[in-house]
Amino acid sequence: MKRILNIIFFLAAISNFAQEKTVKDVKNNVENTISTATEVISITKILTIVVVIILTWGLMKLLDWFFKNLVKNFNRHRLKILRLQPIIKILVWTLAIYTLIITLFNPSAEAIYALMGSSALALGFALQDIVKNIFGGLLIILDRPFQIGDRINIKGNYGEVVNIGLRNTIVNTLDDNTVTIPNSAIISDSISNANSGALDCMVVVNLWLPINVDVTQIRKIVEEAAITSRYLNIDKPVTILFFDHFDDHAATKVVVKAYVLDARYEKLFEGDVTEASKKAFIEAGIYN
Amino acid sequence: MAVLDKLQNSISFLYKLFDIDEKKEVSIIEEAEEKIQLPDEYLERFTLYPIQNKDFLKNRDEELKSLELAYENWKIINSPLLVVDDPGEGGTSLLHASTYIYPTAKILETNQAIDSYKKLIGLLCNVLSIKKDFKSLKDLEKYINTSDENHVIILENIERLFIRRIRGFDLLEDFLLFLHATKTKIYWIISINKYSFYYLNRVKYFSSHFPSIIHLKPILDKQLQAEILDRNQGYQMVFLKPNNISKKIEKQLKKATKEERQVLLENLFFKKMFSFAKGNISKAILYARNSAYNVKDKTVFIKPIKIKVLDDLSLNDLFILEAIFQHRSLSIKELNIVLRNSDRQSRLSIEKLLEKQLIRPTSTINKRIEYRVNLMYLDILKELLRERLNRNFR
Repeated sequence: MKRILNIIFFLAAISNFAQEKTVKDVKNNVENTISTATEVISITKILTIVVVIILTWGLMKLLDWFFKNLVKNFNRHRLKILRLQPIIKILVWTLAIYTLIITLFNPSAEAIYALMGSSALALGFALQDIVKNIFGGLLIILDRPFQIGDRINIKGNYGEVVNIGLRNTIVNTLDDNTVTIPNSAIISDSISNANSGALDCMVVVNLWLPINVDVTQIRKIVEEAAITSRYLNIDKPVTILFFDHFDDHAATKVVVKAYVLDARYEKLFEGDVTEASKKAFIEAGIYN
Repeated sequence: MAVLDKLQNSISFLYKLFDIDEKKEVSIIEEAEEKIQLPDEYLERFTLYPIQNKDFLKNRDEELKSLELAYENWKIINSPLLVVDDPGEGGTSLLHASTYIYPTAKILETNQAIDSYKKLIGLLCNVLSIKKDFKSLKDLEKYINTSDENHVIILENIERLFIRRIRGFDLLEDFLLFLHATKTKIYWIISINKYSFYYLNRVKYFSSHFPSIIHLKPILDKQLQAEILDRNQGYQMVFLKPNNISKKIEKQLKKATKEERQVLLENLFFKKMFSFAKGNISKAILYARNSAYNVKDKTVFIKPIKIKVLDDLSLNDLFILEAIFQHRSLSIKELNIVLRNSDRQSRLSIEKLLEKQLIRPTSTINKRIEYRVNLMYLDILKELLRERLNRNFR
């Protein structure tokens, strides 16, 4: 009996000691965690994050303003200026993210490699679409199938590229709609570019006339309608082509190929040439 | 004052850079500066008129030699000559003064638009002293080629023969055919405005018709200075401090004696004039005339003028100025045709440009009002055409 009691007391003492040790360990662990947490999330660090984000946002807005005004005052170099905009923006974002990582974690080189490896794996699965878009954006900037200010046609949307972001590209269509296209969709699709970084672009004007017209007379009228247009880029050639069509009704299709002085006046030029030609056709009795 | 101006300019630049609208419309209307009327005797010295005699023509020896050579060449290869000049560069003076080379030369000045075959034939018959009626240029060509007489004709401003519209080039093209057909009998000397030449060259390959082309060169700064000093002869020139002056010059002026100050201000005036005129004699004369602040007895006070900055021109204004510059001058009716505008639209735009003094009205022989680009703003306009309309014109 005495032996049994001794064993019970011994076990109770051990359990008591063990409990005391666990509480101490837990206490130590909690203290350690809290101190690590305060090290990681200090007020200084929160303030740093806020300041970096505000500064980055402000800098982005400032850059937008700056580029907008540069473009306004140096119209001739508009496309060259706009080409720099996405590159500078990405640099600013990269710098901001780098500053945040360094300030918050101050990681060692090994930690960075480990983080890169694990995040690549995680991002690969979880953020597949976003990563695709970001890499698409980088590819667009590096490969340059088009630039800001270019007139492109992608997925049936024709218009001026107004922004190339990391995730999306924004196109302003001729009827003033803003179309946002994910970059991943752009790199996997075919794109037609009307001006490829140049300020001017070729405009094709189609005119339909009766089949029995005097082509010499028409050529003169149409060519002069183009060369007298205020929107013409006179430094580039004007081409006039004739085609016969016999689909529903027999007709002569006149195609005027000319360069407009600025891609933005594309439709104005088209309208101007059509209007002047039509008036001259009526005066010459061509529709009769 | 200068510091305040600089500050104001810096603020304006910052507003422009960051695209902030300056609330100019609420500012107080400034009092217009009263203009001091200068004596006619002084102003007459700065009247722009073409020189008629070689003895009075200065700084154009090289061009005169080229004209002599071109005439000798015509005697052998019968090639017409084209003289390309900017308004105010002295093209008319050069051609008039060159008549010592060919004393029988007849000058056909086209200071009005030649818009019909009848008008052109009439002018040509008049200048050739032919008292016969011709229905077409072809008939006149036959008549000239059957006669034994040789002629020299100086036709100024050939750009007045076209108008930028459909079928507006017919007269010019037919005239060029006439020119080629008669070049064995007539030595043609044609002059054209530089901007019209640029346009016609691009759309009609104009220069290919002329194997000999003379481009007028800018006059040297020293020669411009001599010209202005010459026009001020008999007057004591007192140079005043311009309104906008750099701090560096302000300091130099403070340190200088009265005589040194005058030398500094004189140099400053001519420096500003050279940079404005860019070798164009008429522009230098206009600058000097507009800088004459006051004349008292035989003393003229000269204060360099500040040239306005044209940053509020709309695209439409620029198209109008370009059209006028392309044709040298245009009437409202012609402007409607060229720009395919309504009459009301053109009138309103013209009034706006007149208000800004960018164009000035001129009246032709038949009392028709035409508008020309103000010489004072010619270079600014060229720069705007390059920057905003992407014209590769220099």
